[in-house]
Amino acid sequence: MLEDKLLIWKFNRGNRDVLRSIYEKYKDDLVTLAAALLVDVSSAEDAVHDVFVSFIKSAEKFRLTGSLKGYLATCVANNARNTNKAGQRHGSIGLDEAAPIVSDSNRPEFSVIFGEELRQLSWALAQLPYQQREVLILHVYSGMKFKAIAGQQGVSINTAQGRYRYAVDKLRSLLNGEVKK
Amino acid sequence: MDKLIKKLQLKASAELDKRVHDDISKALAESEKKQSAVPQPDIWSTVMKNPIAKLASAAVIIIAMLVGIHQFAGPVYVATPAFAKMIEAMKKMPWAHAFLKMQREFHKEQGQLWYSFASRIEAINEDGKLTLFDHNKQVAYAYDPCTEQITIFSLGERKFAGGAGSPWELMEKTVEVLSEYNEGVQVTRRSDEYNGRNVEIHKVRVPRKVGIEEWLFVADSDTHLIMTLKLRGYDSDGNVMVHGEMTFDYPDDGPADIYELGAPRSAAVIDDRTKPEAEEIFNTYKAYRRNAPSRYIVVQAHYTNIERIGAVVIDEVTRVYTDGRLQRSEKYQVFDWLEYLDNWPKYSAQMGNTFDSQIKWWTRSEYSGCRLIKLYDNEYRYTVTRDLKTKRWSSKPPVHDPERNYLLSGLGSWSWPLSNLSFGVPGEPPITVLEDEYSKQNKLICLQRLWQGQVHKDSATLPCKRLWYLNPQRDYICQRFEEHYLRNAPWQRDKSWLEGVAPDRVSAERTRIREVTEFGQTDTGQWYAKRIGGNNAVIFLDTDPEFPEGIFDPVNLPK
Repeated sequence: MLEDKLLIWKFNRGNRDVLRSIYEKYKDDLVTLAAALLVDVSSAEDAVHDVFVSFIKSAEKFRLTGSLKGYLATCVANNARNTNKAGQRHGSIGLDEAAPIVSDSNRPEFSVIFGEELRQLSWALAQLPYQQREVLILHVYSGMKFKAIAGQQGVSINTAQGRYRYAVDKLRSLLNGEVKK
Repeated sequence: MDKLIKKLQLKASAELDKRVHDDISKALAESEKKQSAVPQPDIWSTVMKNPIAKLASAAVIIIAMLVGIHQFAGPVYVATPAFAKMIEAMKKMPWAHAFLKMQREFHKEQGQLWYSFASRIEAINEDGKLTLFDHNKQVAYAYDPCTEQITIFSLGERKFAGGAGSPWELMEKTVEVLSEYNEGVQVTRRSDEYNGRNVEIHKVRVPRKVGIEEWLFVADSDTHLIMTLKLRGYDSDGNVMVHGEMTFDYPDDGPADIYELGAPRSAAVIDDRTKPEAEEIFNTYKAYRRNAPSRYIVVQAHYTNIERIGAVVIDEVTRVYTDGRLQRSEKYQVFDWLEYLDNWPKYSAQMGNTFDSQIKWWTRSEYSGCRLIKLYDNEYRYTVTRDLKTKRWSSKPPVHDPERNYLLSGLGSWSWPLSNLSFGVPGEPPITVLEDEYSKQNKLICLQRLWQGQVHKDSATLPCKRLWYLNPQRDYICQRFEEHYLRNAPWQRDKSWLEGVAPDRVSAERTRIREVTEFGQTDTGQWYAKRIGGNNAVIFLDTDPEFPEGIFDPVNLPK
């Protein structure tokens, strides 16, 4: 956390090179978050790219306050939500688009996504309504509080918590038949 | 359930890394251009705030700046040779040592550097963190006072003074920028005394959008060497906003090594240098990689072991068309995954046993279809997706991306996968040449890189070993790739690194092996990996393809 404060301080002091450190520190978490929300690695990478492009462009105009990870996770979630909405206008985005078009063997942990258990989880997540999936992932994976998630979704805390419970129940029933525990 | 979700962990791809870093570089370049346009405080700010690499080039920037001011103040100073003498005198010094301090608002920063074009050594002391770059020996040393360790690493492609052969090259670039902003600059000169020496004080006033900057160059009248460089930045009300000072001295010698720079002799030394033979092999490899085929179709089948039905099934097929910078990729999936698994014996029989028959089933069957198409037409990226249930297509807005190069993203990642190995970065492990039984039996060259296990905030990454077996008889194609994540890796220096780390935060041990099982050769003699077997994918490459009509035309994308 202290490192984050230093990064924010440097960023606010005009050090644009610190963007590299921020990206390197959080890129994997953000790609994972976006992929979990969009169930599509390539779209997830586009989302993270878009977030950093916006971040770079707006760097001179604003000052970061609060949690750096939370801020970036919120940006990615917003971007993913917009992507999802755009997809919904024309029909939902596919379920199993969870692998890159072309794999790069030089990614040490990329093979994890091909693991059977997590592949099934990825599939099951895709079955959830987007808003439920968003609450679940932001709460469990990014550690965001229900209050913050509710604020993002424009709903009450009770609604957010309800979506979380529905998501967990549905995920459990979906996985019971597929994932070998 | 929560634990399962927390296990989700992807790695950002090298392609994403490149995209983001390229964008940051562009932003930085634009930012630096602006800083040069409003020169000194921003240059100082850049020098003082950025990491050691920037600090290392501070002296060069200052020299360049001097010449820049000399140039753009032309009419005033061309008539007097004093400024030119100062610069010439500085250039002849074997070493320049500078102590920098800067205050902006309430923040103070400082650093020291030694710099010489003659010896091609850059040395930096930044709050006790010491780094010495010896460009003659192509090696660098970094001392971290926190760990009390000295790391030796290869410079690799890092260039001395940012690639400039002399201060003049940097000066010329700076002059170009500064010359655009020379209106209203005032330069005056007077003789005075400073620290008991006769000096000439050159004062440069640079108007800014808000306020003014004032630079003082204090030079020894006899030696013409700069003694001090001072900066004051004032706002429109005359309040001092920025205060910086750089004090020069010119010792006969500078730090020849990291110890002379201040590292204790007792510090542990870690040699992370890439050996010359490994670097030479890697350079040869890169040369072949650049010469890879640029026109091809690659088809890739992904396999997954489904424990519930006790079978390994194809779960996805991708096909990539590449013609130079044009690329189109298509992803095929079954429409009903659960139904597909439940009736696997039937579908397996339909597909047959050969790769070609399986691909045919996936691309032409009524049970599967194209779900995602990405197209790059040398200017825009297009993405269209199809809904599983309704089978309707939808498109995303095109993304303007004129600089992307897909050339090797399909073929290269399979045949020449070492795309982003870096040298000259502290913390990156060295590449070594390994001679093991497999490499000896198959007459391959094995490159090895060993990563230390690391504990992060929410997880721990196991130590990783990667082996690349290159085939020198086949254009240095990576014939076999191995990746091992091991909990008790013998190369892990700190054996107690996992103490206190909860087991569920530690990623699982795993191994990935991929091997080229068949080579192909183009008409022009280039080798390529025709078939690759591994734990989850098989590919087929065609480097003499006939592309379907209009395949790269976005107009022909499904709507």
